[in-house]
Amino acid sequence: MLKTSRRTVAKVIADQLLNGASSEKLMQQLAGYLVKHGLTKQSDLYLRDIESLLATRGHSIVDVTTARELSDSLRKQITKAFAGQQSVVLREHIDESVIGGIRIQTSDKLFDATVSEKLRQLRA
Amino acid sequence: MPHIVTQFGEAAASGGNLFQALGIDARMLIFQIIGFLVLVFFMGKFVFPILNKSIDKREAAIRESANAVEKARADAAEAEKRIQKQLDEAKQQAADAIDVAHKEAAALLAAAEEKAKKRADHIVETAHARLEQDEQAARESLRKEVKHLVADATETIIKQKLDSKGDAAVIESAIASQERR
Repeated sequence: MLKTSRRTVAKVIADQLLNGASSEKLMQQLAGYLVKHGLTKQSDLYLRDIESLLATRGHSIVDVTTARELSDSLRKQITKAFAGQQSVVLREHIDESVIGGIRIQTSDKLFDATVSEKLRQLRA
Repeated sequence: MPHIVTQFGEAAASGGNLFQALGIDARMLIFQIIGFLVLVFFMGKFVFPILNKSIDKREAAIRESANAVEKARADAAEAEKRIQKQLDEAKQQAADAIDVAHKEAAALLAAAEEKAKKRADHIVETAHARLEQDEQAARESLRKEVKHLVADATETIIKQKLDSKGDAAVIESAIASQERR
């Protein structure tokens, strides 16, 4: 099997996801590909490329980090903030070390409004 | 006088010789005149020239001495003038040298004062800069320490006071501010 460029692999997976293919199955195939070619250390880069390609086509995957679980109301507000996108998938993370506030990260942007970040800026 | 006139009269009356009347021997007188003339001739021929020569020599010596004295006086006066001139020149040179030395000393003193002043100014300036740096560093250190203390205190308070409701409000505010951008 020929080794394909990361960008091409990401594009194929993004296309298949948008065509309704099972994400679980695609991730398994991607994992197999990475293991076979010894590219497991680059898994984050592949995922970031896939997310970036999806974002350019109006489908954003957003990592949201808070100290407590988000309420439905907040989820709606966050989704609303990405009004230009066809679909928004929130990937929520609970991290008490942020103390409060929210950190929102997309494939190409980072918005950090956590209390821990404010305190870090204050200490700097 | 009347006696002499009387004798002349008596001699004339007796018809005798006047010289005899006067008691003068005419031949003796002639011999004496001749002897006198011989003496004068002799003196003029042999004595006076020697005396004159000696006198002239003496006069020349005296004149020479006088000239020498005059010349010595003139030389002395000239030497005195020259010495005075040299003394004046030496005094002037000494005065000039002293003046130059004073000026150079004043210049050296002024330069030394200026150099010392610059050095002192530099030292003061350096000290001020050092103090300012130290003060700035102390302020910066204090500012950082205060910021850390404030941050630590704020973290502690927020951890104690921030509940789910307050956290939600913080998140809503952050999202709203992001949307306004």
